[in-house]
Amino acid sequence: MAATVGFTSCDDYLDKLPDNRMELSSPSDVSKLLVNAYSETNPAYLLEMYSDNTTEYYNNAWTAESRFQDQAYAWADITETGNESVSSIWNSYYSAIRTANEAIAFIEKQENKDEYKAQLGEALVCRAYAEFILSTVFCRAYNPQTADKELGLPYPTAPNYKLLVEYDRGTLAQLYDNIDKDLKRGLPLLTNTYEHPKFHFTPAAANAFAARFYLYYQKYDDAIKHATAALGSNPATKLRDWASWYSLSMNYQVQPNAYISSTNPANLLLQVTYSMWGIYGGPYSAAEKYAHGARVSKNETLQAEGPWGKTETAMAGEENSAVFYTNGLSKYILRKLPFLAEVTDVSSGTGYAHCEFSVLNTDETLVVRAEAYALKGEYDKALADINTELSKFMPHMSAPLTIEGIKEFYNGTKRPNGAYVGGLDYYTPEYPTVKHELHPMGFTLEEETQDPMIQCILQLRRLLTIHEGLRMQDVKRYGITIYRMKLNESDELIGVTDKMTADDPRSAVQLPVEVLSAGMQPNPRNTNK
Amino acid sequence: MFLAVMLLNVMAALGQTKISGTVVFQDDGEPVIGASVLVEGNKAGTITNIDGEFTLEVPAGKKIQVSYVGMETQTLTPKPGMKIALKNNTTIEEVVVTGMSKMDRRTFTGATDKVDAKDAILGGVADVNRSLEGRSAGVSVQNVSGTFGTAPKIRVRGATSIYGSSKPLWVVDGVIMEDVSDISADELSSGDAETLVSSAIAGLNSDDIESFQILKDGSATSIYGARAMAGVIVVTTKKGRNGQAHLNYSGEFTTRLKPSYSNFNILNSQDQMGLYKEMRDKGWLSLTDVLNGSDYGVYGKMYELINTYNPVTGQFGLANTQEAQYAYLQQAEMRNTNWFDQLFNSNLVQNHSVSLSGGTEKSNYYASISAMVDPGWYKDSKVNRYTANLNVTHHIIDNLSLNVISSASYRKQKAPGSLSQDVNAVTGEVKRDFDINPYSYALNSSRALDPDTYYQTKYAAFNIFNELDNNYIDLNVIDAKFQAELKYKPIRDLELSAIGAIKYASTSQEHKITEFSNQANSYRAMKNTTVRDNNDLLYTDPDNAYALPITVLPQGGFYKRTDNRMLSYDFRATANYNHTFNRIHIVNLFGGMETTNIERSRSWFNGVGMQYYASEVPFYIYQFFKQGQEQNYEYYSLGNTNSRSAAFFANGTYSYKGKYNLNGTIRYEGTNMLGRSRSARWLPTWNVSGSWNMHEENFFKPLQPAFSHLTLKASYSLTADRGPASITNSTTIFEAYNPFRPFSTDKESGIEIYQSGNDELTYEKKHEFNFGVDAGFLNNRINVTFDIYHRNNYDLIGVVNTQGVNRGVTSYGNVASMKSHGEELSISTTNIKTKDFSWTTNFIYSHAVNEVTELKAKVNTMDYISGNGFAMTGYPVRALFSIPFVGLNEKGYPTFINEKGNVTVTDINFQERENNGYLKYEGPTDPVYTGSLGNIFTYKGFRLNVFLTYSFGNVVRLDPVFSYRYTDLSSMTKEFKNRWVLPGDENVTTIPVLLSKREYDDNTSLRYAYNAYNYSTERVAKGDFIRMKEISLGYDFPAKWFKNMALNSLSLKLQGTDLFLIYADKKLNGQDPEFFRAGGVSAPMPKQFTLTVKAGF
Repeated sequence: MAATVGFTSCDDYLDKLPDNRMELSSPSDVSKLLVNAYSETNPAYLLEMYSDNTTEYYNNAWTAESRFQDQAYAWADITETGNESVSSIWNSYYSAIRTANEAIAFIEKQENKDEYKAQLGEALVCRAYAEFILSTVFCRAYNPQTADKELGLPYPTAPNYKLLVEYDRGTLAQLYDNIDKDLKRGLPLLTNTYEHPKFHFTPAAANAFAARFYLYYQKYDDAIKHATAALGSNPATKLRDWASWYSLSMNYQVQPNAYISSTNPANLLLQVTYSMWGIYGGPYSAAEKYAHGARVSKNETLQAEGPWGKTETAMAGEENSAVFYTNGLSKYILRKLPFLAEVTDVSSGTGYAHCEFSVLNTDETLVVRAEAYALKGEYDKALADINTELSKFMPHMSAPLTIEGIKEFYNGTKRPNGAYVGGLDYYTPEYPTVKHELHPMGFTLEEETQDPMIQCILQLRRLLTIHEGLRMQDVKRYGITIYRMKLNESDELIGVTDKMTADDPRSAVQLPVEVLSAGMQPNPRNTNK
Repeated sequence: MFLAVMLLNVMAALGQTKISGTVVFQDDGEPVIGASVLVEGNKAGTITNIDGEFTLEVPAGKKIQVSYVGMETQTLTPKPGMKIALKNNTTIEEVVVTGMSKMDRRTFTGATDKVDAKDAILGGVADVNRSLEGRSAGVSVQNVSGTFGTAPKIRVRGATSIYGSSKPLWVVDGVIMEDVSDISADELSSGDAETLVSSAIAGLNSDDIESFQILKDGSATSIYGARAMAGVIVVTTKKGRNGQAHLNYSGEFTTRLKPSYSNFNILNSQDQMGLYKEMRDKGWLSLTDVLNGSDYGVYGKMYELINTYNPVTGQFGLANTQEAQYAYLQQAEMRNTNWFDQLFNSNLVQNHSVSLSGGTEKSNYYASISAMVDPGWYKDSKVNRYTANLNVTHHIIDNLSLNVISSASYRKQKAPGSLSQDVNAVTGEVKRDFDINPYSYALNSSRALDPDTYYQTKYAAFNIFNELDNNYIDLNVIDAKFQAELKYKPIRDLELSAIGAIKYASTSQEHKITEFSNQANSYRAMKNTTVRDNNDLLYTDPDNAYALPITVLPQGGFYKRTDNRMLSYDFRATANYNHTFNRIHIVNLFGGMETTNIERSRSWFNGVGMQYYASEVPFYIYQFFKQGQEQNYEYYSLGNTNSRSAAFFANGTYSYKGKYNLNGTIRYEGTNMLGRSRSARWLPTWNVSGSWNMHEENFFKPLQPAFSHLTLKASYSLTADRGPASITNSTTIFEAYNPFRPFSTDKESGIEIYQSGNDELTYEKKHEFNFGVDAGFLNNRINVTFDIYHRNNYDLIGVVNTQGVNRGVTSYGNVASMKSHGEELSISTTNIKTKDFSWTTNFIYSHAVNEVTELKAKVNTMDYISGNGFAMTGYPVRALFSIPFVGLNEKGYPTFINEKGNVTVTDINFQERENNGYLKYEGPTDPVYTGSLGNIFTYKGFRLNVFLTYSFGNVVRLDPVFSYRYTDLSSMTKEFKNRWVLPGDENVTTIPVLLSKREYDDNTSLRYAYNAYNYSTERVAKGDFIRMKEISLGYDFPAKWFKNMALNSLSLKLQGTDLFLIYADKKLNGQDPEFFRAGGVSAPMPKQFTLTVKAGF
């Protein structure tokens, strides 16, 4: 009896917290917790290496940054650790999910749940967003016909305090269904009351995310609905002022800092990450072996021809350049990505490297809507959105595009006998073009109009989101065959070392080795590779 | 009356006499029940009854022997009606002080050692913990740094944890001593300023210490249960004794030898200049590169002079001619600067202490005061320490006593201005910026440099003497302890005790970087645009696209202050019942509870722009703070921790006639350190043990005195510890944080999950089996103690891969385990003992090995190959690995085998975490065999002590002296003379080529090769050594000289400490195998001579 009293009072005595750790107690605490419900890693570096934006240069002076770069480019299972390794990506997005789940679990215990509505909304959307980004890295593209057979990802909805827990990956269909549910539940609860709204899910940011998600989910009406909600009735007013951005100095961090400015209305959600991508993908002599180099830039992206004419000229005009490149550097760069230093010890100059991304912005959302319209067959609306975007993104374009012009550019002129004259050949490694053979996931494209419209939208998105990792999703969604190519210093093709076709399981990046060693089901791989 | 006694004696002599008497305890007069009363030389005897009375027939002329457990045996001439008062058996060997209670050694079943301070304390070594080196089998003491206040690495029976500290628990006069700042074992060798306050007992004056009791096995330590996994060291300070009052003075005068180049293989200036010339020929020391570079020495200075036009004289600092340059360089060649001589001195260290002691039946006291004044072995290492100690016991009434102890110390210390070290995991470079540690400086700096000249470091002028004057740490430490213990004996066999203690420690480290220091000036260095663009200490405003770099420190320097404060409360109440039933069954029951509460506070502040030489007024500009916001750099910080525990414990000993002893302990402990989870925090620990005193058996008697005594002991126990302080997430830990945002307008504060909750978190635990033998031979002229133990450590904190969903991919939990075993042997012999001469020998040997049995370490290659190494399953807890070196190639580059099994020059990944199996295991960094050999010769008043310590079985990493490039400041070792020069040399040497700049520019990854070489199989040595720890000659002046004088006693002792290594691996070339040359505030133990004067009044 005395002992019982003794232990109970001891327990009270021992309840004193050992250090300055916090305990949540108010809506404002939960809001602060949700600052951390956004990942601090971005898969851009990994996915750029993975995608056809990157080629390999064979030149002694241009070395790989690390084995990570080698492995990512080679579509190998990535074992390297580091800021942007697969395990960091996995960790960081699941950390965001854990944070959201702690917030949700806390809210569920409160009696005054109504006061936590906005926080609950943010937590749900954060969880959905983190799962969505993970799915773009570690899962294959959504295909309604196979999604209930494809592997998904664990979708925890509450904290679990056991040390070792085994999770079932479920199917991609379940994963998309879960994201859909969280979005539907969370989005209506969101408010605009953040002190720093560009770093949180405002209704606009969440709608932009939903638009992209439903586009990938092949629910085009939803995609259009959310894109419209994000963009408002006059999207042109919300797009980035590219013209003045092109006019900024390409030196130092001038363009990157402007690109990620929180005062720019085009930026809907900004993400600060631990990353060296600002260096490796930026104008520095590092990591040059694998680069977005001259061959890709001139034939497929920044300096290639499009229905709008020569891209760089359409962007910055005849006199000026938009693309940064220099002798002795393999990289061709649109200077969006800053290199930022966090200093933990000024005297010794040690700290962390950061990059900041505009992960959701109006330009990309508008192109999402254009694609949704195009896939629904509403080509005029799609064209209108494309032209709105181009009016900003390519201010020096001579005239707005027309559907006929787009068809003409990609396919040429159709003769009465059904054959085409002019137009572009499909892309091959030897003769690269901006037109790819498309094998969409679970649907087909109408050849005459829909295909060139989509070609145009894909080319535009590739440009708009260059260096930001989004290209890889289009490759997966449209089953584009991509190649691993070796170039010499003069951008001549030395050899094709590998290719990834629509059915290649490697389109889903292999899970981190640590996670696999803890018993998670791996992504399948073709054994004969 | 006198006559009657005489008569009785006569009668007794005639035959058997029946006598009766009473046996009582001397201290309280209570009867002793069950004391044995025997006729001497006879088995006939009796025991006392409940009133302490006995009656016995004694043959004429025989004496009687009265004995009782825990009391001194008395032999007396029988008298009728005699009253015999038994004294407590206070002979040192007979009592084991556990810090909580005193136990009868004969019934004590654990492995323990008692070390008397008077035998162990090293004169002139003010840190008492260093004195334990080689004093007890199983206790290893590694002086990883000799700087005052830094704790040596002490292990009792080796490591007990992988991530935890494995530090033994220090208990002083019954109170657990906590470190003011919790520093891990690996951090002890870091050389960071924090190590200066790492020793919990730096405030103890060695003269106040009576003894150390080292509790080794789980049985001995089990009363501390969940704190005691790594052993316990109990310190007992001196107390006053009944009788005459004494005043003792002790003075120590120490002089230290300066280190000497003859002990190191550093090149002289001539050879060094030869290497610089080769470097210049290879393109490294070109004028523009050097002048625009951050650091330069002789060549840079020469170029600087050539470029400096003096308008007054109308001349350049140095004529731009071949001859002038040649003369300048030749001067440097002949310079042979002796940095040790310049930076070190052999000033006298003084330590004076005075103690007063005395007492009466009612009360006794001990009071002391001491002052240690150390002017510093090297620049900026001055220490003053003052201590005071008071220990008073008063018997309020016969069965109630109060003991009050208070002690305080103050320390003022200076240390070279030092920043924390860090490791570049990519290139494998361990670096400390602005390191001005004089010992490292002397070894790292070229002997061709002029000590009076300013060269350049970090783009600013640098001179070591100026820097040490203008960049230093002032350390102030206050330690105080107040404790009181009340003891009450309501009945004879029961003692109740309550003890309370308050400890307070406060340390402040003020790192003063004045406006004249290089470190401050480098913040302003922008002598030309190249320097301005390269100096990363300058600031460029990101809000202004076209801003130029500016300094954020236009005036003044820095005032960086770290304050640590600790306040702890301890309370313990115990009851001890001790009774012997029927003279046969001895029972001792001990139980109680204790609570502790430790509040630690740490604050740090970076005062910018302090103008030390301008009225100490700070001058700063807002850009410093703007930069701080943008770079997420805090200019001050605060951390409070609160550690609480509560424990209940009980111990029972049963002894059958003192022959067979059985002991059991149980402790139930709770702590708040694992977080607010009520299930994780409580842990029961226990022990069972027994011993057999064979010499108490009848069959043993015929063997005496050839076999004087023999005791066998065995114990099995569970003890524990809380694991590393960083793992306390039984519930999710939320912490506020400031996420990095590049623009100050975007900043917001948040709360992050620091660690996800782990409700299975628990203590680290250890099962230990111990078997011991105590034996004495030849009338105890030879005493042997032997222990053998086996330990199983489990639930250790380790790293595990998780699926990364509910917690981080790599998470810490109770997933690791290790095992260890060892043997310990102590032999002490009295070789010769005559009236005037004696020779005694003490030999101590211990062997301890451990092996990690389960651990998925997730550390990178660098952790395995540098410093203390790291743990890998199947290897010791701190195992050092090397990159396998396979010779030089045809260009003189080092080649290695990498993790793919390929021979490579540069393809070494220091960050590899998964495939480290290719590394070659070199050995443990903790010694395997340690011990000592001591010989003491006395002749009349003379006493000669020759004390050797030894340590074998570990490996040490040689200093990383190789680099892809060197500057004209670098000093190089003699190994460079054997370097690869021409093709073919690779067949005869393993020292790589001095790279040319062109080679490096063509392949910058060559720097990986040179760092890999530093951590290769080539650069490792055995840590084995035999050290002449102490030679001393003392003389006690004969007492008769002091008759009728105030002076009672006088002794002198001359002692040499750490004089030389009798044996060490030749590859070490003067590198001390115990010492980690980490720079910062670290320094090796000096060779020193001490004169000690002791006088008693």
